[in-house]
Amino acid sequence: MIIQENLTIQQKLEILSDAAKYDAACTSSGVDKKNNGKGMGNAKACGICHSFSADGRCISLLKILFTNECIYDCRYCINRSSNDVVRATFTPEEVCTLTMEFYRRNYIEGLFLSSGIIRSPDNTMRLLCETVILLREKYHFGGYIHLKGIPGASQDLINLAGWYTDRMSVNLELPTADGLRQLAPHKSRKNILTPMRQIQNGIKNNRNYLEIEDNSEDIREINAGMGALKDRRAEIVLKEHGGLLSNTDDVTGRQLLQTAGVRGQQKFVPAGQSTQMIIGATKESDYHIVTVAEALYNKFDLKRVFYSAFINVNHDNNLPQQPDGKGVPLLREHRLYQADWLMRFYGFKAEELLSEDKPNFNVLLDPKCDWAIRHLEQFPVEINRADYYTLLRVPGIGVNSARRIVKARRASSLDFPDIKKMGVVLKRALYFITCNGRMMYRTRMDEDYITNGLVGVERLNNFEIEHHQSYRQLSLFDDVNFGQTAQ
Amino acid sequence: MNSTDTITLLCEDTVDGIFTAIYKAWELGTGHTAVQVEDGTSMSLFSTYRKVDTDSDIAFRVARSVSRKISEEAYGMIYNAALSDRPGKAQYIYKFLQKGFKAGSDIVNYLQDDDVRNVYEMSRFVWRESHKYMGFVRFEELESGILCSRINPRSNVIPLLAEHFNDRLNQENWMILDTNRDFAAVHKKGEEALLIKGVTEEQLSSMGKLSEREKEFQSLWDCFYHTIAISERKNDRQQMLMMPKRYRKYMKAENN
Repeated sequence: MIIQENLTIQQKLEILSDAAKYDAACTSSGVDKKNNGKGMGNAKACGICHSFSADGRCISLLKILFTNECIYDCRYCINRSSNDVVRATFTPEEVCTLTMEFYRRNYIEGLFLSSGIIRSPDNTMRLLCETVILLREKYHFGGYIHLKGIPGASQDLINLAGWYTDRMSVNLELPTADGLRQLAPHKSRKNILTPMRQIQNGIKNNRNYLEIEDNSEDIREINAGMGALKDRRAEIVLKEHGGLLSNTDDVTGRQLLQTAGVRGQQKFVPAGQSTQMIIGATKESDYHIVTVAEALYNKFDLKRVFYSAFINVNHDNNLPQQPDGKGVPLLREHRLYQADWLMRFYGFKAEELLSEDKPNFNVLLDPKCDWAIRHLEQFPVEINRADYYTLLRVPGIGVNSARRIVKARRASSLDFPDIKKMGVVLKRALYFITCNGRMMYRTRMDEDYITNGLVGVERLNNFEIEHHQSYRQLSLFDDVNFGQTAQ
Repeated sequence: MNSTDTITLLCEDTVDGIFTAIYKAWELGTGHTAVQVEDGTSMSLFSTYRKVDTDSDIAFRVARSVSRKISEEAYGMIYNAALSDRPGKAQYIYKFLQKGFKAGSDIVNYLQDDDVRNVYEMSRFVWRESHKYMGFVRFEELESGILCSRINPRSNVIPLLAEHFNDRLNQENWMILDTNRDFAAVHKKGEEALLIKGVTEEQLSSMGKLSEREKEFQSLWDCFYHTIAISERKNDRQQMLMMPKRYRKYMKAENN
C-alpha cells in the first residue's frame, strides 16, 4: 500500500472524492431543521441539489472518504488493500474546514462522510465520530450530515454518531450473503445487519422518548440535568473519548457517553437510514433484489435503498467482464429504481411485480405498464370515480396527478383534456381509463394490441437510457409534460 | 366614458403593487375592470387606463383577507405568481381571486379551470426556479468577509431566496443581486435581509476584491466538482436537463 505523506488539502480532496464517487446516494432530504441560532446552516425536507456533475448526477453533499486506506480486500472496490493506489487520510479539522467553507459559499447542503477501514472498524468509526462532533460542537454546523456506519464497530460508537447526524447508512454491499462471501470475504452479513438494526432501534426509542418528554415532569427534569452537563460534553467526548469509548465495559463511561450523545441534538438520525447494494457483480435476479429491498423497507424501516450498477473498476477476472468499459446497463438500474418507487409510493408488493417464473424486468416496458398489461381484467378505470390507490395503478398516472384528480373532481367531472393538463401522460394512460364512461379512442382490451402501443412509446426512451443519453432522474414530480414548466 | 368600456388599472411590478391594484379594481366593480402590470406595452383601444400608486397597507389587507377567507395555500400561490415574469400575471391573479372568494379554500384544487391553472402554473414555475437557485447561488467572499452573489433569473426570486438564506446564513453578511432586475437582497449578520431596488452590477463590483482564501476554495470546489463525476457514465443531456445553461452564468466551476 502506498501511503503518501505531506499531501496538500487539494491533493487529498482529489484522491478522497475520487474514491467516494461510486457511492450512489447523495440525497439531502428527509429533515426540516431551523438554524441553531449561533452557527451556520439548516436543512430542508425536500433536499436541495447544488450542482450536477458531468454524469448527470445531483451534487448535494460534499461526498468524500475520510481515508482510502483499507485493511479489507473486497473484489469490486477500487480501494481494496491489494490495489496499488495512492492512499490519503484527512484530519477531522480538514474535513470541517472544507465542509464549513463550501457550505458558506452555497456549494453544498452538507457532508456525506464515508471511509475505508483504517486499522480496525472501531478506530475508523471513532475518527468519523470525532469529525462530526467537532463539526457540530466547535463549528456549530447546522446543515445536513450523512455518515456511514462501519460494520463491526462497537455499539456505543454507532449510537454516539446517531446523535450528531441526520442520516446514517450501512452498506449492504451485495444482495445476498453468498455474494458477500465470494466478493467481500472480510465482511459478513451479520456485521452489516447488526448496526442497521441498532440504528433502527435508536430511531424507534428516540421517537418514544420524545413522546414521553411532552407529558412528563420527571423527564423534563432529567433533561435539565443533562443541559447542565452540556458544556462538559464536548470536552468529555473530544478529549477523552478514545479511552472512554474503548473501555465500554465501564458503566460510568457508558453513562457519560450516553449523556453526551443525547445532548448532541434532539433527534436520533432524524432523516432516517438508507443502504446501497451493488447490482450485477453477482448473479442475483431482479426478483431476488426487489425482495431483499422490500424486506429492508419492512423489517429495518429504511428510508431508501440505493442500487449501484456495477462497474468493474479493478478489471478483476473473477467478476463479470465489461469489454466496452461501461458497466452494467443503466436500464437495469433504472428498472430497479422504478420498482423501488412502486413499492414505496404506489402500494405495490415485490411479488406483484416479479416472480420465480418471471425473475427479471421487461426490457421493453416499465414495471407498472408490465403489471397493468398482465392485469387487464382490472381495467379500464373511471377517472371520475376510482379511488386514489386505484388511480395510482394506472400507467401514466403518478402520485401528483392522482392527487390532483381526486381533488379537482370534487368541483366538476373531468375529461381527457383536463387530466392531460393535470400531468397525466395520456399516451400511456389511454388504454386503461375512461372519462365519464368513455375511452379516449376505441381500444381493444387485448394484451398484444396494448403492448404494441406502449412499446412504441417506450422504445425511444429505452434506447436513450441504454446509450447514457437521457434517462430522467426519478422524482415525485412525475409530470414532465405538465404546463409550461420544466423542472 | 362609454359604459361598455373597461377600466384597466396599471400598477407597479411588485407584489404590493399588484395587490393594491386588485383592491382598487374591486372597489370599482369586478364586472368592468382589469388589472395590468405597467410595462408600456399592449394597450387596448377599448379600455380606459388608470395608474395606481402602490400602497403597502392596502396590499397587506388584501394578503390578510386572502389568507383568512380563502386559505394560506391560496395566498402562497398568488404571492409566488406575482413574482412571475409572465405578461398578464396581474389579470390572472385578479380572476383567480374573483373565483376564490366565492369557492373558498377548495379553489386551489380546481385545475380544470383555466384561471386557476394559470395561477397554479405560474406559482409552480416561480417556486421551482427559486428552488433551483437555492442550490445554484454561488457566494464569493470579499476581503471584508462579505459574501456576494449574482443571479440572472426569469422570475423575481430574490424575495424567496432572501427568506431562505436569512435562516441558513444568519450569522454572515451577504448579498444576492438579480442582474436582470438590478434588485438585491442585502443581509446584515443576525438581521433580516433588506430588499433594495436599483442596485447595479458595477456597484457590486466596486465593493472590493475577492479575499485570498476565496481563490483557494474556488479551486478546491473546482477540483471536487470535476473529480466526483464518473467518467464511464458521462451524460451531458441529463446534466443539461437538470442544470440548464441559463443557470450557469455565474457558476464558475460548472462553466469549465
